[in-house]
Amino acid sequence: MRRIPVRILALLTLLMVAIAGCGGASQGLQPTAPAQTPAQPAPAEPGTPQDGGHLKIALAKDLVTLDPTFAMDNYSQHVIDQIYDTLVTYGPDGSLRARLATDWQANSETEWEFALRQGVKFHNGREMTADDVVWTVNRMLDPDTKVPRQHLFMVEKVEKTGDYAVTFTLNQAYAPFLSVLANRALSIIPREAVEEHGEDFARNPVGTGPFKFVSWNPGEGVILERNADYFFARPHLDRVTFQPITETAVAQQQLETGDVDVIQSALPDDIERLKDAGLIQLVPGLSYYYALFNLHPDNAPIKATLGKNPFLDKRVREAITLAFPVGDAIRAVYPSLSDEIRAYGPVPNANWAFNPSIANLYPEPNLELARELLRDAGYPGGFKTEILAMSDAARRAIAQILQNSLSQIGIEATITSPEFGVLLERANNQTFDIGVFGWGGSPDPHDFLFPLLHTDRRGSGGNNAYFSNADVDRLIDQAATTTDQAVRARNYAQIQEIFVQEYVHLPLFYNPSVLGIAPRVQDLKVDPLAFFRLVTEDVNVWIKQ
Amino acid sequence: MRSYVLTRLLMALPVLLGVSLMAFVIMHMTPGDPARIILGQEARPEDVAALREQLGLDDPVLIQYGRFIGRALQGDLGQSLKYHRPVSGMVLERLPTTALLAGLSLALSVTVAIPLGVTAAVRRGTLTDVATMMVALVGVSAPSFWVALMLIFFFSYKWQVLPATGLPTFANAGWGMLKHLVLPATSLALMSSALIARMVRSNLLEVLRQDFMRTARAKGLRPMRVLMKHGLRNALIPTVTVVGLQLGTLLGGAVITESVFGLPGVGWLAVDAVQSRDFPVVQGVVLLVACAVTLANLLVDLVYGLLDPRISYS
Repeated sequence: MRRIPVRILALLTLLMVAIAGCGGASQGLQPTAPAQTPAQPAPAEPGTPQDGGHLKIALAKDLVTLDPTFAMDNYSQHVIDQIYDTLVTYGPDGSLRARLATDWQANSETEWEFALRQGVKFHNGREMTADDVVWTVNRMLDPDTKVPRQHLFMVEKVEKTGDYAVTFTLNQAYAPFLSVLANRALSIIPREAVEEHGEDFARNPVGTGPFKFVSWNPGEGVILERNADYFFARPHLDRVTFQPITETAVAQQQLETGDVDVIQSALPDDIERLKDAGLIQLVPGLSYYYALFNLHPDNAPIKATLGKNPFLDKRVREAITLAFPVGDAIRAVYPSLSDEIRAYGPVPNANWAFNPSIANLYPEPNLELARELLRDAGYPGGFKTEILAMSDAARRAIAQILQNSLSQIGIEATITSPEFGVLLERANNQTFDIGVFGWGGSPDPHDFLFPLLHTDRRGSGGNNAYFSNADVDRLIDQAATTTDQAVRARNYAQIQEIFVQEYVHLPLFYNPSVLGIAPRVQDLKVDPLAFFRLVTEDVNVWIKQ
Repeated sequence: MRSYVLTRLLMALPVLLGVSLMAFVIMHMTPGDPARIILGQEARPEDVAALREQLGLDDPVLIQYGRFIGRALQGDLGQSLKYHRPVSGMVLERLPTTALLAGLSLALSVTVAIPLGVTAAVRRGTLTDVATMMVALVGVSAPSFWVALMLIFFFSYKWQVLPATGLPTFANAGWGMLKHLVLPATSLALMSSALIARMVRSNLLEVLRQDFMRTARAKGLRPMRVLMKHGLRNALIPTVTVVGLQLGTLLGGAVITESVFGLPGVGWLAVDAVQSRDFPVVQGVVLLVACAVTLANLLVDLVYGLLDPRISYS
């Protein structure tokens, strides 16, 4: 008679003990090892950087690999940024900066010479030399390495020209070459570490960066510790943890309770509140958000109902541009940033190649004129169409405003926001009518203009609009194969004028980089590509103890 | 008994084959190119084409499936397209977390649900009964995603008594680890316990009306013994069926729970694999879950024999 109640009682007791055991502490993430904070930190003047502390960073997804050559995802790249260095890099202002290379020059249009920084040590204690640069580059060029993306398609060979000097020979002149070397996939790695670990190098990384790898466990994330020998400066932080927290609402709550120090994103409705509370850093970004018209003659679904693709008629594209108040739409999404983030085309407004005159080429919103253009194009009663929008809140909101604008000129649009893989498939196959997409590249204008507008990239290569213009192609090709900056600037200025006159896209805005940062974290700055480095020549993140 | 178990295990093979074929076909019919998703929108078309070839994605689906089955029969579930790691290793690495979560949830469900169901049945029609069943109704109806967020909001954000995310390594197992599992296990257990409580109540009410119960009481047995030995034991047979089936539901629920709580289990892996169209990982997870559910059903059938001596598998 007593057996069952006693068992139940035992289980209930166990449960109560378990819950009671949890009640005392108010801790979130539990590091495996304690932070090496000094027991009694010396009192410091306010604003004076202090050594020590454990920075906890929440990533929006789990990372894939810590081998930079194979890292394609944003989350792995955030960690890679703290472990490795590239030859050159982009500063927060978009200018190229020296990193492992101290100096460089183009000997000819196809030959680039680099002087390397001396005294740089890998985390295994060995000095980095020209041999490591040559080996890293050749590893990427070797077909047996099977790199997912061949960033060095323009490189013929690389040679050691001194213990601290290398020369690249290109198979063709390639103006954005330095931007390629700034890509973290070209982080310099030591041969012996790769040979020792083989494929497991991805989980046992060795670099030259400000933090050394400690451990990577699925539940705890990646733990790094200070590289006291870092060539720019000794990092203030003892440890850094990157922990995946996929639910934005949860990450945001963890930031507010102090369980994590940095989060990658915030709920759109909370951004302004968190900004006012000093928990959000919001800076204009480099991700180009835009609406586009499908110019494929056959694939656009609208052809099935109308018998032809109406977006091939420039008057229809112009009418939609006239009906859509871009400024109001941006204000609705980012009230505090609207004017500074407005896009006029694929080249960011702060970029050296931006043509400021194109801002005046866009017509003011004019519904009457828009209706008239539609009438002239043969659509007096409008038509039914679909807007295919990325599923994030910003682009969904923009799609709804666009839908409303279209309804005012008789165009009845539905909005579809499928899962990312499905959307990508439709965008790349041109099975959409109007899209609300985004594009992120390096700060070099070629990385925006070539993939988005060149005929060679029509379809799945970035040019989802299926735009083709011989003049644009010629100007892009010419600008990519000259090192004369004036020629490049002139060509890019012309391309931007054609872009506006042809109403290829409906440029929206450069999506701001958002980073949630706890008040105790000092000197952390998010860059326009939404990345951050914890230690550089002018940054050394520290924690107010 | 042994031949029964062997027969059941052999019968499971075509089930597993069918499940894997269905999963394979559905994944390949879903739009979305794994190579493009892995490389990102900005990738050059030539890089995408090279990766497709490298991953064998250009082969006809049947050939890809044949390759998968051929390898699976040798115990090799292939390589993850995204992580370039053996699928079996990835799944096994994450299995303990999911097993622990599902086990804790099941234990929690049964521990809470059986006393609740018994109390509601014994006090049928009283306020206790109504209140218990109302709570159970809410438990069945509340989406686990919402429950998880509410638990995090109150216990981690408002009161800050329990951690919301992460899980220490198994090397550091103990209170620290259990603390991280309290909220996920509770959120996962809520629906099951509500369902089990309702099942226990209705089955027990049915049993309490039986003649043998009246006989037991007439023999002068104490009410508690009548209830527990004669009543509950008989009422548990259909309940055990539900508990067994709940294992499948719990593993399905773990997909959401693990993602919300950042637990590195098989469920989280499944979500990531589906989003990335990482076919081999999806196949691995589906096979694992199918095996677990098949084994759970077999166990349930064996438990019947323990609860009711009239059931024999010899």
